[in-house]
Amino acid sequence: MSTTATRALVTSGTPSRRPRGAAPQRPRRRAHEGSRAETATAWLFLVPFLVIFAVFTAIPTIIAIGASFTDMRARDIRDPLNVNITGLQSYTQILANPDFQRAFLNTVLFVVLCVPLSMLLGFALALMLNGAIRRLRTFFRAAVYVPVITNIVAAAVIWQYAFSISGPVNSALANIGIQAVNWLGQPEWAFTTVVMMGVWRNAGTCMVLFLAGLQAVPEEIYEAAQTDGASGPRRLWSITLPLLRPTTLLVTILMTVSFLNIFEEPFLLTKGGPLSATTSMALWVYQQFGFGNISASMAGSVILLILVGIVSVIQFRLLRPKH
Amino acid sequence: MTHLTTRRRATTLGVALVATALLLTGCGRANSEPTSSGSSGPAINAKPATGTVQLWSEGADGDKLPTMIAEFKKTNPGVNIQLTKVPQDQFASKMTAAITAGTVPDLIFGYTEDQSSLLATGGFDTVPSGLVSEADFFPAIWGNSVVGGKQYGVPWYTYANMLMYRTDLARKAGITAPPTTWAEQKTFAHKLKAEGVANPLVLAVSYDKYSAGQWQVMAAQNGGSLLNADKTKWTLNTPQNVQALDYWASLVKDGLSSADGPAFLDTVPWMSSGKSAAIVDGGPWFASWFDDANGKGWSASHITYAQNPTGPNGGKGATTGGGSWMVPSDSKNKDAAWKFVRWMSEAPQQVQWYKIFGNMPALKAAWDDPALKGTVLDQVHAALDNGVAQPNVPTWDQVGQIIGQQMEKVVRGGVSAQAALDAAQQQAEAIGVTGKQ
Repeated sequence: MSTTATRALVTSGTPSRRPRGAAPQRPRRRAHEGSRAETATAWLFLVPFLVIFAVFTAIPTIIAIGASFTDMRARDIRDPLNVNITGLQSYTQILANPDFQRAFLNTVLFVVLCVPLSMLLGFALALMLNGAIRRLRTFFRAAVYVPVITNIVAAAVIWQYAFSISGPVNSALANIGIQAVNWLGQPEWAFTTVVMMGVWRNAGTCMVLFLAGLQAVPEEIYEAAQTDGASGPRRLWSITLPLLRPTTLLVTILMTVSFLNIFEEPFLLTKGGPLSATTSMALWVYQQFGFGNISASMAGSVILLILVGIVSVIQFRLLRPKH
Repeated sequence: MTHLTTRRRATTLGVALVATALLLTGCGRANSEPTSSGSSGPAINAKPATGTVQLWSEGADGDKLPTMIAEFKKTNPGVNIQLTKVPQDQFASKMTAAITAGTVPDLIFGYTEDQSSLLATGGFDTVPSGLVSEADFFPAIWGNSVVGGKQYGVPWYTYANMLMYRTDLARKAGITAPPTTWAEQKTFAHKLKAEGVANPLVLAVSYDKYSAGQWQVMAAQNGGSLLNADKTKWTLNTPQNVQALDYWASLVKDGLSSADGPAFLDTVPWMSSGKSAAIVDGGPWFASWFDDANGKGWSASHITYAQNPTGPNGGKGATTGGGSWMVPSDSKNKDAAWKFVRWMSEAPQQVQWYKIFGNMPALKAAWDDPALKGTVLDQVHAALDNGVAQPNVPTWDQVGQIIGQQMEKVVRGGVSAQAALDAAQQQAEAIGVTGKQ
C-alpha cells in the first residue's frame, strides 16, 4: 500500500516542478475529433496497470476493510465467510488498546522528528552539492543517494552492529571521552537510533528533489540580487526558499506519508522494542497479523490508511495548479 | 467534465460499497468451531503406502531426508514422496497461505515453536487412532501437538535443554561440581564473576516468547504453570510464577547476566571468549556449534553438561523442542502420509536419523541403542523426562510476546515481578486461550 501511495504522490507531484515563470500549460482538450478512439487506446495501455492494481491493491484493500468489521481470526482462514459481523468492535477495541495507542504515538513522533530532520539534512546537502562543492560533485551526489538504494536488510544488520554496546559507534565515542551508550537497549536511545536511521535513509531522496528544485531557479535572479547587494543568507531567504516552495511542499508530503508507514527500520533494528519504544503502527499491524488477530490487524491498517489518505488529500489540495 | 468525474467517482464508490456489503452479508459464523478441523480419517492399515505424497519440511532437516525417503520406498515401492524444503522463517506464513488457498501439501514437518500458530488455523487432521502410542514418546514433545485434548502431530525428534558451562573457567573459580539448585547456581555465577567473567550466565534476553519460554521452565521448576490444568485459563501471576520471574530477573540485577545479550547467535562467541561462562537451559546443539567455531573436540574439552538446577522445592524442568509430523485436512493422500509418519517413528528409523543428522529420537525405546550413549546424550536423555511443553494454545504467540515485554520491564524498567505478571495476566485474560473477538 505504501509504495503505491508513494508512487501516486510522485507522479501527481511532478508537474509542480516545471520551470518557474513558465505559464501553467493546461493540456487543452481538443474538440471531439478522434477522442473516443484515443480514449480507447489510453485504456488499453492502462490495462496492465489496472489489472495489477486491482489484484494486488484494490481488491485486497476492499477485503481488508470488510474483514475489519468482522471477528476474523487465524482459525477462520479456511472458511473466511464463516465469521460474525461485529461492526466497529475491532476499532473500539484497538483504539482502547494501550499498545496501539503507544504505536500511534510513536508513529506521530517519528513523523514529527524524522520529516523535518530528513528535509533539513537533504536541503543542506542539496545546497552544498548545488553550489559549494565543485570537485567530485557527481561522486558526492551518488554517495548521498546510496542509502536510498541500499538494501534495507543489509543496512539494518550494519546499523545493529555499529550501534551494539561494544560496536564501532561506542568505540568512537570512547575515544573522545564519552561513555558507552546502550543504543538499542534503552527505550529513548533506541528511538533515537531508529530516527537516525530513518533520516539517514530518506535524506537522499529529499536531496535529489531539492537539487532538482534548486537547478530550476534561474541564475539571473541571483545575479540581479547580487548586483543589488543582497548577502548570501539574504539570497537564500528571499529567493531560494520562496521559489522552492512547491518542492518543499512535495517533499514534506512525500516524507510524511513515508514516515507514517515506517516499518522496516524498527522491524529490522529493534523489533519494536525495547519496551515497545519503537513499535510503529505498521509494525503493530504486522504483529497482530502474526498473532492471528486478523480483524484487529485489518482495523489498524484501515486507520493507517485513513491517516495516509488525509495527508494525500491535503497534498492534492495544496499542489493543485492555481488558475 | 467535472460533472462526469463526480458521477464516475460516485459510481466507483457505490460499486466498492456494494461489494463490501455483499462480502459482509455473506458472513456469519455458523458454529463456533471450524467444521473440518479435528476430524480424523479411517484407521491406517498395514498395507504398503501408494500414490504421491507432497511433503513440506521445515529448516535444514530436509537436506538429508531423501535418504530416509529412499529407504521407505524399498518397502513401499508404490509410493512417490516429493519433498519441498521450506526455510524456517517462512514456513508458518507459507503454510498459512497454503491452507487459506486450499493448496496444501499432503504432509508437513513443523518445529515445536511453529505448531501453535499452525494449529491455530484449524487446518490439520488429528492423528488416526492406533497409528502410534502416546506412552512410547517423551511427554513434552507429545504434548506439544495437543490442542483441545486432541493429538494433531506425531513427534519426529526432540531434545531437552541443560546447564552448560566452561569447565576450565569453573575450575579456575574453584568450582568442582555443577550447581544443582537455584541457590547454588547463584553462588556458582558469583564465583565466576569474581574470577573476571563479565556476564557469567547466558539468559534468553530477547524479551519475546523465547524469554517467556525460559521463564516458564523456571516456573515449572518452582511448581508453577502458565495455564490451568485443563488449559482453559491463563495463570500467569501465581505466587510460584512470580517467584520464578523474581529469580530470573535477579540474575540480571545481581550482575550475573546481561540484560542486553548475547543475542541467540552471539552465544557461541560470548562463551568462547569467556565473556560468559554458562548457558542457562541451553540446547544440545550448542555442542556442535562450539566445535564448528573453535575446532573439533573443543566442546568436549571445554564444556561441562549438567541437568538444569532445581527450584527451591526440588522441582525439575527443561525446555523441550523438536518437531512433529502433521497432516493437513485438505491433504489428498492422507493414508500414505500417515504410513510414512508411522514408519519414521519406529525405533530403527529414529536411530538411523540420529546417525544421519544428529537429531535425537522422540521415541523412548530408540535411546536403548548404543549410538545414543555419551556425555551430552546422557544429560539430554535424563532431562527429557522433565521436559516442559510450550503452552500450545492458539494465542500463545501473542501471550508469549506480552510476557516477554513484561519481563523486559522487570529487568529494564524497574517494575516488580508481581506487577509485571499482574499486567501480563490481565492482558492474557483479555486475549483468552483460544482467541476471543
